[in-house]
Parts: sequence; C-alpha cells; structure tokens
Amino acid sequence: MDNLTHSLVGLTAAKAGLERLSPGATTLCVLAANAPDSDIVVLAFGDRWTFLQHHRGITHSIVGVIALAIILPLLFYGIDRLWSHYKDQSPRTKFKGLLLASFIASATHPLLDWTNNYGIRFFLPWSQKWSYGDLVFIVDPYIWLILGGAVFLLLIKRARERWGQNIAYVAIALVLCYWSALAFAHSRAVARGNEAAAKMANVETVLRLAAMPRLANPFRWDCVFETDRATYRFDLGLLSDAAGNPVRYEKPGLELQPVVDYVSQQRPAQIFQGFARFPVLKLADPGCTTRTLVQLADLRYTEPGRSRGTFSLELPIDCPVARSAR
Amino acid sequence: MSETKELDTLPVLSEVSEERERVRKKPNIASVRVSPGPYLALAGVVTFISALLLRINYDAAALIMIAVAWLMIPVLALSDRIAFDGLSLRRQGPLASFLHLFFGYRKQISIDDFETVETQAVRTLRRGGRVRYRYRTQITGKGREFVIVSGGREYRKLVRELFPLIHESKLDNRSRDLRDYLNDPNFLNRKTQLSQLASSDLLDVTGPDFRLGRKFRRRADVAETPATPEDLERARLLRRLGNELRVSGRLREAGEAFRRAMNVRPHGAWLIYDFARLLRSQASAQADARLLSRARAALRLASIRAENDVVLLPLIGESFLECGDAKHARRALERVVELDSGNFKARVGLADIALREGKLAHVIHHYQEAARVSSEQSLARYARGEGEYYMQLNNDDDYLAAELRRINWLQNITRIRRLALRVTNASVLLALIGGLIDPLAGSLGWSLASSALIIWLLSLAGTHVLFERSKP
Repeated sequence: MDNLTHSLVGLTAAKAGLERLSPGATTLCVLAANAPDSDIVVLAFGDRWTFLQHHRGITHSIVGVIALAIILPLLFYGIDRLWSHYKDQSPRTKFKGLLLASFIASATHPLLDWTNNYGIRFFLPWSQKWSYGDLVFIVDPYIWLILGGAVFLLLIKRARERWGQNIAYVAIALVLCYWSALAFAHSRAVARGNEAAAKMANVETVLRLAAMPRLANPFRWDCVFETDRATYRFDLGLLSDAAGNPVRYEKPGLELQPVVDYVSQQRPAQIFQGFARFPVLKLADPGCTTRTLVQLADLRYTEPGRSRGTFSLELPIDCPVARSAR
Repeated sequence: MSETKELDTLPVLSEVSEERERVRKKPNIASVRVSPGPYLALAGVVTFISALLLRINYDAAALIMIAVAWLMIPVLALSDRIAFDGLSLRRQGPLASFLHLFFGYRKQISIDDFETVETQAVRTLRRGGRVRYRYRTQITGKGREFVIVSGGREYRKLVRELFPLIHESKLDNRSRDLRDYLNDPNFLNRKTQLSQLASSDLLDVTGPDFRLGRKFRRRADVAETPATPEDLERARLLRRLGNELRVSGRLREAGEAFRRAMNVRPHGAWLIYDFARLLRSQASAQADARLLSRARAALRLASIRAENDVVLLPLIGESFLECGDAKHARRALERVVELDSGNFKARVGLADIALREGKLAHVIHHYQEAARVSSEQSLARYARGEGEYYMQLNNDDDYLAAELRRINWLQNITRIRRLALRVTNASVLLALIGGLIDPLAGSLGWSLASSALIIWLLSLAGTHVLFERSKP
C-alpha cells in the first residue's frame, strides 16, 4: 500500500488507544506503520533492479518486522533519555508502552501490503515464496476516505470531545467491513474468472488463475491465468457476463530455449524472474538480421514491449542467438 | 651506575625475574573445565546461521560456519579451564591466552582477594529419595567473577584444595557444606555400608519417622540414659555421614543417618541444625511446604539449643533466610551481635534482612559495622563497597530511581530472554517437524525462530549491560 494509507492506519491505531500507552506513542505509531518501507534506502546503494529485489523483502518479513518493532521504541526511548539528561528532567516515555504500540503498528504494514497483488515474502530469509492477497488495489481511495475522514474528525475539537476514540474504532471497523466486501467480491471474481478461463483456454489445461483488483472499482477485476501452453489476461466485470480484452502470450517453446538460457544469465532478468508472478517473454523482431530485443513483462501489470518501470524489461540480444532459436 | 656495577647486578636481576616466572608458572593443584553452557549457546547460534546460509544457497559459508561450530567451539570449550595453583584462581586455555597476548587481560584472583563464595544447588534429577545435585559456585573479588560448575572428580578436588584456604566469613552455608562434606561417591558408598544403614530401596518404601517436638521429648524422657563416649563418637560419625549423604543428594539415607544420630544425642544443637538443613533440601526437592515448615521448626529448636554458640548461630540465621523466615533470622543474628559484636557474617546477614525490609539506613549501618570489624582486607573492602553503594542510594534520590529502573529492566529482560529461548526452541522444533509435512509450516517455524533468536541475543546483551551497578 502507499505510505499515506500506512500513515493513516498508524495514526488511527494511535487514536484508538495506543497513544495512551506512552508519551510519543502517536509519532511512534505513524513511524512504525511505515518502518518496513525503509527498504527504500536500497536505492541509495543500488540500481532499480536491486530495489526490485529487496523491496517488500526482509523488512516486510516476520523477522524484519519484529526487529524493526523492537529497534524503533529502543531508539525513541534512548533519544528521550538523552534529551531528558540534556535538559535535566526526568524521562517521559515508557518503554513497555512504546514497544507494544510499535509491535501493533508495525504488524499492520505487512498485513496491508499482503492485501495487494504485489505480494509479500513473509518468510524471508528462509523462504523466497511470495504470498498475494489480491483484495485491495495498491492505492485505494476508499480507505483514504475512511481513515482520512476519521483523522479529520479527530482533529476537530468538538467531534473529538463528543465521540473521542470511538471515531477511530468506527474507522477501523469500516475498513474491516470494506475488506470483507472486497474478499467476497474477490471470491466471486475468481469463480467467474475460472469459468471464463476454461472457455478461453479451450483444450489447454488451466494451471492457476489470479483475480486482481482495479483502482477504485470493486466490480471490475483483472484476471490472469496460466495454462500448460500460454499465459492469458482479460478483464472481468462482476455486474456483466462478458470477459473483455483478452490477450494471450505463448510460453517459450524448445525453439526459444537458447534465448531463455541467455536471458537467465542476465542479472536484471534474474531479479525480474524472482519477482514476476506471470512472466511472459517475446522477441521484438523474430526475423531480425543483426540485433533485436527480448521483451519480458509481468502480465499482472503490463505486456511485453510496453514500458512500465521494473514490471517490464527489454534486453538486447544478438540475432545469431535468436536465429538459432528459430 | 658504572659498567662493572651494572654487570654485577645482572645475575641478581635475572634471579628475580626467574623467581617471578617460577611463581607465575606454579603448577596447578586442581583445575576444572569452564561451564560449557555459553559455548553450547554459541555453537547453537552459529549452527542456526549456517542453516540460514545453506537455505539461501551460500553453501561454502555455511560449511565453514558448521566447521567452526562443531570443531573449533568444542575444542575451545574443552580446553577452557579454571585452574588453582595454591595461591590464586585463573582462567587457562587458548581463549585466555589469546586475550592475554593481544589485550594483556588475564583473569585471575588470589585467594586473599576473594570477597564472596556462593554456591547454588540445582536439582537435575529426582528418583525416590535420591536427588542429583549440580553445584554452581560463584567466586567474586576485586570486580572479577569465576563460576565453577560441578562436574565430578575435578570439581571435588578443587573444592577440597581451595575451600579450606578461604576465610570462613567468605563462604555461604552451601559452600561450607561442600568444604566439609563433599565426598567421593565410592568412598561414601563404603562408609554407608560400614555404618549398616538400611538400603535406599528399603527406606523408599518405609515412611520417615522424625519427631522433634513434644512427642519426641516424651519418648526421649522415657528412654533417658546417659550417653557413653562411644555413643557420642557414633553420633558424631553418623552426623557426618548424614551431611555427606545430604550433600551428595541421597536424602532418604541422610535422614536415616540423622535419625540414628538423634537417638543417641537428641539435644545436640549442631545435629538439629544439620537435620533442619536436610529437611529444607527435602522440602525443596519434593516441593513440600509442610517439610519446609518442619525445617523452620527444627531451625528454631536448633537456635534455642545453640544458646551462646557464636559459630552456629550465624549459620542458623542464614538458614532461616534461605527458608524465607526473616523474623527468626534477625533474632538469631542479633543474638550473635550481642554475644560477639565483631561477627562479620552476622552483620552482613542483618544487612541482608534490612535490605529485604527496605530499611536502607540499617543496611548502611550493618555494612559499615561489618567493614569496621572485619580482620580480612578483602571482606572489609567488600563491606565498605556495599555500604557506600547503599549510602549513595539513600542520599541520592535520582540515583535510587535510576538503580530501581535498572533492576526493573533487568528483571523484565531476564523474563524476555527466557521466553525468547523457549520460543526459539519450540519454533526450531516446528520448523523441523512442520517442514516435513508442509514447507509453509517449516518456513513459518524458521522465521519465528530467527525472530526469537534475535530477541534472545538482544536481551542477552541487555542483561550484560544492565547487570553492572551504574555509577552515581
């Protein structure tokens, strides 16, 4: 999820009662709710592929989240102790309270991120396996509206005095209700997607299918599925029967094996393959004479040849390799 | 200095140097292996890291780490020893040599510098009337600390050689018991056979019959006959055997030996005191509150019979404290102070009781008195240090608050450390067993184990940091 959502969740959790655990708990909650995204520092030391490799990596795993949840309150408490020593006053923060608040706020981050189709690797460094919730789009204006509205009300003195932390409780309950509704819609989308996929695949065997949310529209879902021969993508409307805009990418056969082998040796492609859920590959110009491009894409987000950040990749290749493939 | 004079002094200087070297390289009288616990923990952590490296395909690094964990660390653990050369205790082994060579650090305390010698008994196994004890002796002095864990013949030899040389006031009750009664098991078996005690199997099926109260007195009145010198010697030997059996964990047989000794000499204060200590050991082994109250009752009786015995009364006071009876402990120790105001042990015991009651001024007074009356330099230093610490606590509210906070943290961190260790072990088990059933369960287990291990390592570091008293 985006950092605004994480911050709003941290703030709402603080207002729901965590802020009373210790002075400074509100700030800590907001920071802890965002802390796993500290993996952005990777960009300072590596390129975008390094970032793709490490984003939603160890800092989002169980080990990383627990470590961050301990480090943050330690830092807070230490800084408070130093400050109070400098100012010659007694420390204000309570470590136990900070620790509890930090654990709760930090835990919300991987949970929220898991709801997206980007996925998360909970068990790093022990397992590289991605896990996907496929419920909520990576940026969700409804969640902004609910949590932002709650925070806005909490800023208004009269509303705060009248309803107090009930505002935060209601906001959290509404988000949970919204998620439940999305989970129901997702289950319908998967069922309908499977039916449509079976028709589309014809004689091919459907191996797996994912129904993924779209921005601000719980009634339209993107479906991607893989068969023994190809990978497909199509739109699915829950209110209508039609499955629209289908695209099909054949899996590389034996003739493309040299290309696949060549690509597998390239670092960006290795990282990309570790990330991509539905990777597809094609040659930009199969009849080339000198050089051409191998186009890779993750069908969740884009198609080969369309430039979209690290979700697609083009690698130059000598035509002899491509020709031998033909 | 002229050249001739300088040449003349050379042999003398060389002799001094040789003499120093000879003193330094005194042969060891006894030595014990250092407790392998920390080494095992280190090997466990390194193995865990190597498993992680193996999982993420760093095979070479994993292999090196496994080799370090299971070849180097055991060698270090086996060669790390605490040696006694007749004058001092010192750490020996490759690690100690490395520290001395590169950092000039040598861990050594001479006997004169010992301040406290405290022994804890840990029950490792209980079967019928037999308990297997593991003793952990902590020797402190001059800010250094040695921990010796019992492990058979070497430990017994060290205790036999070292403890008699230590000042009485530095030893706690258990250390004193070990000094006087720790014996070789074979020798003890022979002694038990010669004394014709009933076998432990027989004793296990018969109920103990100890009567120290009114009933016992009535029976004793009936059979009151003057004891002959042979009887008294027999009672002395049985008491000694009872204590030796108690220290070696053969509690039921020890009880039988005491019962026989009491038949001969029912009013002996020392005998009743030793018997009370046996009852306390049994109460602790069987988690029996009734036995503990009997132990207290026996101690009360011993304190009455002890009359003006200023050697026994401080021991009774200390035993009362072990049994959690501060009121009677204070009474016994105050009597010692009345009889012998220069009794160090009694003063320190009273300071301990005052500390439990939160009376800091009393604590300071008792430690200052202990420092004043002590004839031993190290004991005086220890008591003075404690007195100054508590005085600082009493005079400086901020320091008191900081120390309370430190102790509170230490307690919490210790709890967290224990919990983290349990979670680590359980998670590794889950990872190993669950991994066979479902890889997801395996990954979950490893993740939880890693997290718990990180917490354990952090809390371990925290414990070390917080263990030291903070400077005012």
